Amino acid sequence: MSDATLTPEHEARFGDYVELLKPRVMRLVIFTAAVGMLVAPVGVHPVIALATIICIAVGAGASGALNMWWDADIDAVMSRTAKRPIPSGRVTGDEALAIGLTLSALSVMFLFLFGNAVAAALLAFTIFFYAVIYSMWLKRATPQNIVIGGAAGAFPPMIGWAVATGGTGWEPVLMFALIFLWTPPHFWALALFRNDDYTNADVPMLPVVAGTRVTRNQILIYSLILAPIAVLPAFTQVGGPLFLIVALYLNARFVLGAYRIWCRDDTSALADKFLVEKRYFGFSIAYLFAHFVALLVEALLRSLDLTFAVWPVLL
Amino acid sequence: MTASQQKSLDGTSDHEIYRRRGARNLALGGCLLGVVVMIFAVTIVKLSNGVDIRGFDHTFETVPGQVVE
Repeated sequence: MSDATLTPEHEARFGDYVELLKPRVMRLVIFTAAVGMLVAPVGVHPVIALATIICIAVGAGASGALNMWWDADIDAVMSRTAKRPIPSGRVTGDEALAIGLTLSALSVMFLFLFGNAVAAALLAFTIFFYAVIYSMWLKRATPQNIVIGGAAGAFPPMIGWAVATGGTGWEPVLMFALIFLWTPPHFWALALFRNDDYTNADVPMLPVVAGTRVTRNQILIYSLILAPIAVLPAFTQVGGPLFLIVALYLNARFVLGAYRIWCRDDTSALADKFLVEKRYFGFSIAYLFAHFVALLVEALLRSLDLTFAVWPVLL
Repeated sequence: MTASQQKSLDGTSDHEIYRRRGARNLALGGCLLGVVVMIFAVTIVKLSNGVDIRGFDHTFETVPGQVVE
């Protein structure tokens, strides 16, 4: 018997299984779900809040594992994803599928028990949406994959809100719309300077299918649609003057960045190695984060009774 | 074959693979313990908040004390 049969070359470590759950995506999910929960008008016990946020994070991670199981073939040919656990041979596809399905079921079940049926149903739909509608159906079929698939990443604040209130409202819908409309320009900016990756993998991202000119147009169009929607939460129960100022500043910069991308062509982009696109992509992450931080600060100010008595609440 | 590999065939050694699997099992055990603690903590919180702990007994009680069959 050789030593190789005793010691598999690529036996998975625990960290490889954790990597299946896409910890970086989970961080964003935890943050947005927590904000959705904390800004809601109904308080949640800290233990229940922690337990339900863990459920939401694990559910999102499970859908990530299912996505990695399904997309292992295209992950292997893209430099950004080639080192993921399945293409690098550290975890088998079957293991990823088993982990994805098991954690999906457990997270939904526990969210139902710890939280409520509305939150659990939303989490189940999110997992289904990301794993089936986005990964299996849209991603390889249409250049609009990112537009509709973005909904999966937009649900966590709605789930957090549902844990607190047992329902939904304008505020969580606007938080959903903020992430939903932010996703396409964010990923198309990435796709502009990662074009080769998607071409090699045969994924019909917009720059691959329709060209970079159309992509630049679409980034500007989506930024212009996003800007008023992103400001709107200022005039709901969760908003206020601070959010309005922050949102106006962020959206002005976001639209300006999109306009700069729109003004350029491939020649000027190649000349400075996509500097404007890379900056816009980097800023877009800070943009989303800052909106949610502003909502959190508004909630804190409300809890300290530091609010304007005459602030217009339109929704 | 080295001495440590020879030992590992007898299942008595601290071969590298046992250490690797041991670390994985410990981490998994930690996760399971975390789940147990989480369920316990949520149970205590829900009970102290006065959640109805009676099991479903195939009847619907729209008004306390008045059972609808």
